[in-house]
Formats: sequence, structure tokens, C-alpha cells
Amino acid sequence: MSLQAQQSIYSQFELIASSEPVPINDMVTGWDGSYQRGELVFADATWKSGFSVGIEVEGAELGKFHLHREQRHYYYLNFDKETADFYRALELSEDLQSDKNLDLTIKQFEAIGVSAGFTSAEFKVREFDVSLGFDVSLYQVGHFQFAELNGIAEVGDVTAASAVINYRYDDDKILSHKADVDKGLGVSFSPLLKIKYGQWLGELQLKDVANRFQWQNGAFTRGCINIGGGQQARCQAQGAGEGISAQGQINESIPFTLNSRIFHAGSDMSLYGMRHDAYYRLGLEKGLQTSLGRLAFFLYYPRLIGASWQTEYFNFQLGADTLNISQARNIQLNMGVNWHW
Amino acid sequence: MSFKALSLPVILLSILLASCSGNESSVNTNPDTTLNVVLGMVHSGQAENIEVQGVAVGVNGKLTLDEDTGQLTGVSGITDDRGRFALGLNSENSSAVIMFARGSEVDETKAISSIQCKLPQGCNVKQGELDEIGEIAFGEFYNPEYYYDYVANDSMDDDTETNDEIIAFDTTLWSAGLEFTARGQFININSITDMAGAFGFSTYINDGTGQCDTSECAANEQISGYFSKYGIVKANTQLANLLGLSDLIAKEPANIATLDSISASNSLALMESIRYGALIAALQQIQLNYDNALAAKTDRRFRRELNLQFSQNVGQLYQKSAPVNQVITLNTWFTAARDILVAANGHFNALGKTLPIEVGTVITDFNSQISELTVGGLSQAESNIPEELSDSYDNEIAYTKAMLNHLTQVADEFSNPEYRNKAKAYQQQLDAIGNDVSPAFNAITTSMLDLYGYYISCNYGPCDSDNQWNGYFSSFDATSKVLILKYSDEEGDQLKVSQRIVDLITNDDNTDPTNSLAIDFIVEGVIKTDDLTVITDFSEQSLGEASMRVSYNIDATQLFIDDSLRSLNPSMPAQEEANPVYPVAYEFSFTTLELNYLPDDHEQHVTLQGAFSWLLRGVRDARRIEDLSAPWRYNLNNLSVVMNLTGRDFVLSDSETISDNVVMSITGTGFNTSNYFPDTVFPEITNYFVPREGREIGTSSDIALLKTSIIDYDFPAIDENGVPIDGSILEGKVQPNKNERVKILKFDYLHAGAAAFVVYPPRDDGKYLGMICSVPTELEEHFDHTVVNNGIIGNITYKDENSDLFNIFTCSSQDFYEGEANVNDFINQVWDIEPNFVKAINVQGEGVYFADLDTLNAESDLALFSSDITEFTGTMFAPAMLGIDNLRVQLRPQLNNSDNTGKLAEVALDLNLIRPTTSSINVGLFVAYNPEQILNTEEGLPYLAAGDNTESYYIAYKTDSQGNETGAFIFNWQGAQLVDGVLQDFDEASDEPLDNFLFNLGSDVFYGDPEEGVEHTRCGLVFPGVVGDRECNAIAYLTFRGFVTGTIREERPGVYVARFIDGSWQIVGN
Repeated sequence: MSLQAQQSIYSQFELIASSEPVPINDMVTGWDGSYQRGELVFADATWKSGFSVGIEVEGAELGKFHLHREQRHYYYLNFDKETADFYRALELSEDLQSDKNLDLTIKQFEAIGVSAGFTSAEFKVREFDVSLGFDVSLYQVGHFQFAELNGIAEVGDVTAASAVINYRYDDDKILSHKADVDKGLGVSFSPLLKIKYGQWLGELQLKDVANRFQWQNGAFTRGCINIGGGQQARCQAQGAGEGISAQGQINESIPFTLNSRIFHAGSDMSLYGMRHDAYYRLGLEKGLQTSLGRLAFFLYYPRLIGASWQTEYFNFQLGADTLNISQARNIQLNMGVNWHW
Repeated sequence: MSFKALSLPVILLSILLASCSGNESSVNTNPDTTLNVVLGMVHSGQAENIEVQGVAVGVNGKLTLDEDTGQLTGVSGITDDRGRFALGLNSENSSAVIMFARGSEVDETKAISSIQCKLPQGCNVKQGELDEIGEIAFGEFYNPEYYYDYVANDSMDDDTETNDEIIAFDTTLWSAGLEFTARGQFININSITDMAGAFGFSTYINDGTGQCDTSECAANEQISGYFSKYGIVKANTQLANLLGLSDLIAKEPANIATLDSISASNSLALMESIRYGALIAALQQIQLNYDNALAAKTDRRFRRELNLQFSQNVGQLYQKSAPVNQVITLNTWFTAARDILVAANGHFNALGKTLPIEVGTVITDFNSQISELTVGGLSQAESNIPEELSDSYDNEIAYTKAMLNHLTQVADEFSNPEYRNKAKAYQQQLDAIGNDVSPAFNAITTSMLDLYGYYISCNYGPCDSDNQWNGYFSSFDATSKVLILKYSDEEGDQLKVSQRIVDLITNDDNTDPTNSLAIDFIVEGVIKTDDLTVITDFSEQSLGEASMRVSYNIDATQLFIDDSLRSLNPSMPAQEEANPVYPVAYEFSFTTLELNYLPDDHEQHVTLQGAFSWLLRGVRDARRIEDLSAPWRYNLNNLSVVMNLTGRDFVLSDSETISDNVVMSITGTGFNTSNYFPDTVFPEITNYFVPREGREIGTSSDIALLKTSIIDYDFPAIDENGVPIDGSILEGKVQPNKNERVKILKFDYLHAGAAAFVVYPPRDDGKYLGMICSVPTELEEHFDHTVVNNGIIGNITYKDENSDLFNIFTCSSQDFYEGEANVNDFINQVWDIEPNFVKAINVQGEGVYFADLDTLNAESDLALFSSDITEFTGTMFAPAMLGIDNLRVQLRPQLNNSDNTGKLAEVALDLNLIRPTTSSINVGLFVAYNPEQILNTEEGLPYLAAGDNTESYYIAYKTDSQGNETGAFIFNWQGAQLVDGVLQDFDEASDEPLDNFLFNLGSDVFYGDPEEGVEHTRCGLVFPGVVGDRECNAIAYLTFRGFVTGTIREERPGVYVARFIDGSWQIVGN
């Protein structure tokens, strides 16, 4: 067996971020700027550095193996549109004009990890050239927050609300439960399928299709917050809230991401589709070969437009919904280097 | 008198912010009939000269500290040569006690205490200057090593100057926690009880392994700092079970060194004793091996490492080959213990002695247990907690939650509806009474001063015809200076006004002096205004006349014209002298006053009877002290009111009437009002307990507060210990040839004396003697560095005309210092230790300033002081309070109910407030309903009421010299019930048993070290919200019947979260 085939070392940064209700920047600094009703915020940023090597057996190419170190920041908020209304009113200290349903799910973690994967060489299935692949990632997870919140804010004073919370974390951002939480472990499996037919190429990846994150002594808080919750109060509490905080084994998972692409080589046109739980997007890309490499322009729904440039060794891709990045709600950024021989 | 201080939001706020020291009592060190004599042993015996101290756990789960020193306090004793001790603990104190065993060494250089080597193979011990390992034979003694913090000898040379310098050391060896103490109880204190003692800190949170259900999790990890009986029992029993022992505290461990002579009542007891002794010896061996391998003394902390890891393992040990770094496992411990027993057996056999057969049995047991240990696993020992303690654990949490919820509602209902109505009625009626009475007292003062002005006008010319009193004028005798005012022709309906020269010198024969420093202004009879009648002596015995004593700083033959009163009283004639004579004090005295006052909207007079006195002290502006024409102002120096107030009568029946009745006592004093310069000529009620306007923190003094200079002076010559040599001082004079010419850095404070930083010439070893001395204001003029006689510069004493000899210098500190023998080196060394001591200037009447001294290197050094006189301004640090800063108000109202058909429940109210500066406060507020008995603190202040259906609240809050704040809220409710988690008032129709809810909420507010460039917001009651450079850490702790059940912290701005020991939490407030 020979391991000698094409080899490469690479470093790649990938970011996709989308915020429906307010610009991404305002998600961090406060909801007092531009606002529209929305129900999700999603961001997934990965920086990976590693190598890949082709595997041949007696001259026959079996596929490619790759191994890389990965740093990942994942952030996903899914909420009722009325929850966004409530939070907006809270930020501006405005009275509520109607009852607002509070329904919020948070999934967030920061991790470093190691990923190993294999992509097979193409093989024939009838008239289709098919290849299969997979990635397995092992993570050491640092900061994390997972939470569900269900409640109601009744018409009138925005500070009067009631909600049931179930919150898992390493560092309490709601109150200040003093917990000493060790880093957690995570594992993720992502399969890949490629089908080529003539000038057509179809790709389908199920990123994180199976995943599990675990903390042996993660901190958690469960309870009820009821600040003048009114007659429809979702829960009752002594004082403005009560519950329990402790540490214990915590298991979490995140939704998988479906990435698909249909590519026509003759026209250098690609059609993209992506779905991550409630977040989805569709895109179209047109590429042009230039003396400096491949230049492409892409357009996505929800609103995003951008361009990419790709050479044999470098790639850069940037897209956003506005030229004023600080007001952007959708951002896509990829850049990397791939040295191969 | 305002009763708004009782308003419930204030109480609630105080609860939330308050804190406490609140330890009800400490172990009594005075032997009396209430002593429990306990006996015990340290380190399985033969630990000599070990100090043993029993420290009571206070109601807040904290160890009792001496308020002055901050050190642990409790009765202590010394072990004898067998390592045994006897202590007399206070049997009336049912709190838990932590026993400490410490070395008796007073410093690190003298070894006094010793412990025995329990290892048959001998003990390898690092000792001596060179820190070399030496062998101590089995049964012999060595000095235990303590915990050191020191500066190492980096150059590793033999120079004594660079030897390791130990900067701190802690002689604590071991501890033991006792949930209670009984007479004659036997107590072990050794390395194993120390493990349990460390683990015995109160359980606080769930660490993730505690069992959880849908509503709560069992708490199983400690937050250090609090002891509880539950935690102590849990720790002691769990560790005993882990080690295969039945009792760590009461069972006596065998001394391995004398194993041949051991005896016990039965075989099982003997085996346990041997096992216990072997385990203690094994720990000794493991500790020595661990610490001997470490070069730095500061690293040799085996016991602390062991205790820390044991607690982190939740009272368990790894059985074998721990997956994380551990100083001990059960395998190493048991193996060492077994080997020690085997070696001991060999040792004694070699001496021809036979050990009990039980030794072999214990060895066999160890072997069996060692073989069953699993790799990487923690032990699974469980505790044995008595059911009543376990039930109490759960109940107290429930009670605490109920009490906290009850308190959060106190603002709306103090406390239940019935009391709420009573409280409202009380507040309304007390407010009404206060509103009625205050004008009456003001009217007395106004009338007296008005009358005084009118009387002076009669003395120095015709009586002022424009004065209202002139309408009652009857006669004025210019010779006797007696003024008669008549309201009517009715006998006695008059007022006689006179003056009398006061005989201040009572130890002579002259009882009728012709002049004096004080003249009494005397009123006899009745003072009448439109709505006010003051009978100056209502008593039949004629206890005393009403008077106003006017004191002067010159001899007087009669009352002077009073320039200070002219602005207020036009009847007062003008003084013609360039420098008017101002009274130095007015002292009002109504010894038997009866006051009838008709309130504005009342039909019937209110009557007060009692005594009433107050002293106004005249003061001059410290900044205009040279200006003799500068006007004087008057501070209220002290106040005393004892009154019985009776309201109008309400007829209940033909033979019975009722009326409101209030007994009140008010006393107030000013700490140092003689030099306070108030904002108004005479005090106003708004002047008290507030800093002077323009003297806020951070403001500049604008004028020089400090003058510095460097001078020569002659002090007595000293010996090698810094003591004046014989004959160097004769009759208060430094003698020639036995003098030393010292350098003094003189700090001349504005009207507040002086300080002297004295530096002697260097000794042969290069060190110099530095002294810090002070010179009081009255002797400051004699602090003069001119040549007095025989070439001697300056005097060290002053002799006045009464032949009294005064030391000019009072020296609080002296020591030998290394460095250059000059005052700049010396004061910089003092500055390094305590800069505030150097720069603080107390300007009386204004507060404490920090002198704006020139500094270098980010304030780490003082710039050099010059020999020339240099002036420095100051920046306000702690503004002084005006006038009275110490007030005690006691009220016992017995008021009618709202429809005047009966009496409200009796109430007791006691307010004690001490606030000499804005940065220091000591306040205690006590309110009780239906008190049958009131218990007092050691300071004599009430804090708890007892009775069948009593409810009492006590709030205390105070600051310490470091600016930290402590406080306590104690709530006692007897005759209440907990029903479905809610507190309910006593219901006569219910058969449910009554309960006593003694609840304590205390808190500490403390500040960290200054952080340069970092802004922190103060979180205590003093200067809240002010930005400073020290981080504020505040915690309130909840205890129920002495059991710590939770804490409260501000976890988000304005959000106070109570966290209970079962892991549950609650946001306080709505």
C-alpha cells in the first residue's frame, strides 16, 4: 500500500452569521438600533488547520484522508417573533401594547477539536460517478450555554413578565451561580455524498448529523422568574423568582446542517441550499475563469450578495446584505490557503 | 422626634443591605459555675506544650473573633507532657465549638512545643538553621514545623544578613469540630480530626453528584467559611466510617510509642484504639516524607493540601492510584499504618516485650482492606447524621425560606394583618404626638432665649418695651437683679427671673463668691405663651429650679450682654467692646418640667412631665483662631430628655378613662463638639448626623493643614535596647554628656498638636533608632528646638506653675531600623508600612484630611522633606459629623387603639446611633410588640424580645476602621406557625403547636486591596454608589436558630439572590 498521492496542508476560516431581528453587531451591543420581527439568530464560525493526503493502493486511488485541528464557535437562538418584540420593548423601556409570548431556545458553545475524515475516490454506480465521505470531530468544549425559556409578558409594563427557565452553562449569564465547571467533551459525525453525471455535480453534506456534547459537572439552573407576571403568569415564584441551581452531568446536542450544491461545469453555475433547523438559505453562484484565478459572484436568499476569488492555493469569499458591515444581518466569510503537492 | 426611621421600606432596605457581626456570646474565659470541663488529648498523646483553644461557632456559623484584634477568641490551655489538656467551656453556650491545637511558640526562633515521633523506624525531620534532615528516634520528640511565609535566601550563602527571613508563620497544627460539648467529654485533636474539621465547614451547594429530583438537589459541596452542627457531624462521622473507626472525637487513639503498655475495656475497643493510633502515625510518616522532599518551607503544606483535597473529594479519598494528583490515597495510608504496626511489633519484640494480640488482628484487617481497594476509585463512605439533625437540616431551610418570604412582604404588612393594623395605628398616633411635641420643645427654647434677651435688656438699661414679655412686667430690682412677670393677680401665676453667681470652687469655704466663670439665669414659676404652659417645677418636693447656666472664659459678676444672641433677639443690647465677650456654653436644665401644650387641631392639652436638659457649647472657627472678634457659634454638646407624655382622656365608663401614654428617653452626645464649628449660630435639627457643607469627601482644605521641618533636638542617650541610660534624665531634663543629638521631622498640624519622627544617630551595627512621637496641642508651644541650657537643645518636659511635670513627647512606637539614619529614610519606612498613618490629619470640626504630600514612584515613596518649613494642604477623607453624633432614643408607647376603646399592644422601641464621621456608623434599632422580656447585648442594647405572642426586630450595622461593614438583622417571632410554607400569626382557635422563629440575617461588606486604574462602585451603606479603587464584596448570610441556611448576594445590579444550602435559589423582592 502506498500513501503517496496528492498531499496538502491547509488552513481555512469559515463564518456564516445571520440575525433576523437586529443587525449582528446589535446582537452583541443591544437591540436599540434597526429592528424587524424575526425568530432566529445563527452563527457558526470555524477555523481549521491540517493536512490531507491521498491514499493509493497499488496505483489505485482509494480516496483522501484529512486531519485538522479545529476551533469552533457556534451560536443558535430560535425564538418566537413576539419574544423579539418583547426584548426590543425591554431594551427601549417601552410598554407592551399586547401580550407577548416568550419562547426562546439558546444553543451556544466554544470548542477546540480535532477532525478526521475520509473522502473516497469516485466510483461508478451505473452511469454516475459517486464518492462518499465523512468527518468525525472530537471537541473539548469551553464556554457553553444551552437554555429554554417559556413564558409570557402581559400587556403594559415591559418589566412584568413570567417565564420558566431551564438553563445549562459553565458561566451563569442570567444570575451569578458560582460553579466550577470542567471542560466538556463533544463528538460530531458529518457524512458527505458527491454524485457526478456528465457536467453536473451534486453534493450533499449532513454536518453534525449525529452529535453529542457532554459535561460531567456542568452547571444548571431551573426555575421560574415572575416579576409581576399578572393573571396569565406562566409560573408562580416566591419573590421575583425561585428555582434550583446545581451541577451535574449535562448532555446536549445541536441541530444538523444540511448543505447541498448542484453545479454545472460547463456554465460554471452553482445552486446552493442550506438548512439548519429553522434557518435555511438558497443561493446561486456564477463563476468566471480569469488569468488570476476563478472569480465568482453569488446571490443568496435571505438577502446576501458577494463575490469570491479562488486560485490554486488561496481562496477568499465575502458576502453580506449591506456594504455597511456594522448594519449587516447576513454575513458569509471564507478564506484559506491550501498548499498541495 | 421622627418615627419615620421605623418605616418599613427602610427596614427592608436595611435587611437587604445589612450585615452582622452578631455573635451572641463567645466562650467564657472566666471560670464560674457554668463551666463544662472537657478533657482531651493531642496527637495520640505525648505532644507537649501545645496550646489548645476552644472557639465557639457563632450564630452565623462563623468562629468567634475578638472585636479588637480580629483574632480567634475562646478559652485556651496548654497540654502537659502527656499531651493531655483540660478546658472549662461555657456550658450555657450550646453552639458548636472548634478546637485548635497550636504550637506555643511566640516567634519562629524559640521552639517550645514538641511532638513525639510515632514511627518505629524513626522520624526524618528537617530542622535547624540549615534545614537539614535529622533523625528523631522512635518515641523521641521534635519541634513541629509550622506554616511559613518567608523571603528565601536566594544567594544561598552563610551571611546572616541574607538568611531566610520569615515574614509570617502560623503555628496551627490541628483542629477538631464538636457539634456540642458536654461536661467531662473526651476530645481528640489530631491530624485526622483536622481533616474532618476542614471538611466540616457548612455544606452549601450541589457539586453535581448530589441527588436531584424535579424540585431540588441535595447539597454536598462545601463553601468554606461557615460551620454548622450538621456539617461537623457529617464530617466527623463520614471520615470515621471511611477509616473504619466508630468515633474520631471521643475514642482514644493508641500511642504507638507505648503500644506495649496499652489497655482497653475490651478487645474491640483495643483494636479500634490501635487502628486509630496507627493511622495517626501513618499520617505523620506520610507528612514527613512529603514535606522533606520540598526545599522551600512555603511549599511544605502537606496538612493543608490533604485537607483541601479531602474536601474537594467531598469527604472521600481515592482508594488506590488516583487519576489526579493526590497527597494520599487509602492504599498509601493503610499500607503505611500496617507497616508501622508490623515494625512496632518487631521493635517491641526485640526488646523482649509482647504486644497485645489485637495488634495482629488490626494488621490482618489492614491487609484485607488494602487488597480490596480499587484503582482510581473514590471511597464511598457515608455519614451518620442523627435523624433530628437531618430533619432539622430540611426544616430550617423551609423555615428560612418562609421567613425570607415573610420579610419581603414586610414593607406591605408589618408583619401579619393584625400587626399591620396595629403598626399603622401606632405610626399615625406617634406621628401625631411627635408633631405635637416638637413645637412645644421648640417653644421652650425660643421662650427661654427670648426671655433671656428681655432680662438682659432690663439689666443694662430700661427693659425692652417691644418685647412680648414686657406685657407681663411687674417689677425689676436693679440691685438684686430680680425680674417679676405677672400673668394675672392670681397667686403663683407669675414668673420670677433672676441670676446667680455660681460657686464653681466647692472645695473652699466661700459659698457666695462675688465673681465666677459661670452665671445662672434662673426662672421660677410658670412660663406662659399662647398655647404653651411650662411649670418649671411641678414636683411638690421642689426638686430643683429651672435654669440656664451661662459660662464665660473670664470671671463675671453678672450676665454679660450676649452678642451671639443679638441676631436672633432684638431685645439684646449691643456690646460696645471691640472684642465682645461670648459665652463658652449655655446649659439648660429643667429638672422637673411639666409642659402643657394645646396642639393645633386638638381640643385638649397634651401633658409632658419629666426632665429636660441640654448643653450648647460655644466654639470658634479653627481657621480664624487668631481673630478675637470672630463670632462664636454653638453646638449641641449633649442632650437628655426623660419624659412621660399623656394625651387627652377618653371616657370608657363612669369610673374609667384611658389616654395615650408614652414614656420616652432621649440621650445624645457629641464626640468632640468643643471644636466643631457649625454652619449656624445656634443648632438646628438638620445639623446633626450630616457632614458639614463644603467638607465633602475629596474636597481640598484650601489652607495649609501641615507644616513640616527638620530640626535638631537633644534626647537622652540610649543603650543597645533603646532604653535611656541611667542619669540621662534628671528632673525631666536631658543631661549634658548623656544626650544624643537627634534629628526630628516635625509635623506641625493645624490646631491639632504636632508629630515628631525622631531619628537617633546610627549604632555600630549600622541600625538606627526611630521613634514616632506626638505632642498635644496644649504643649505644642514648648516643642521648641532652641538651646535651653548647658548647650542642650529643646526640652522634653514642661513644668507648669502648679509644679506639675508634663512630658512634651508621647512616643507610641520605637524600633531599630536598617538604612541611612535620617528622617527621610525613617518616614519612608513608616510610609511603606502604613501610609495613612503618615498623611492623616484630623482637623477637629471638619474631619480627617489626607495631607497632599509629594510622592514618587506611583506613591510608593515619599519625596524628600526639606529642612525648611514647608506647608501642605489636605484632601478630605472622612468628614466629621456636626454636633451630636451619638444618640439613644428609647420609647415605650402605650397607646389607645384607633377607636379609643382599649389599648394597643405594648411596644418597645430603641434606637442607638453612633456616627462620628460619614465613613463610620454604628446603629442599632430594636422594635418589639408585646414584649414580656427583653434581652440585651453585651453593650446593653436590646436585641431580642421574649413572650408568648411576641414579635421583635433588631437591626444592627457598623463599620470598622478598614471601611468594611457588618450588620445583623434578628427577627424573633414567638407564637407563630408555619402552614404550607407560609408563616401565620398565632391563631387561638387552632390546636396546632406554636413555634418560635428565631431568624438572623447578617452580612459582611468588605473591600479588597486598591487596584490602580480600576473603578469599583461601593456597595455598602457608607458612601454607596461612590466609585473607588477597591472591589466591593458583599454577602448576607441567613441563619435559622443558629444554622446557616443560605446566602444573599447582589448577583446582578439591583437583583439580590438568596441561595440556600440545598441548591435552591430565590430572587429577593418582587
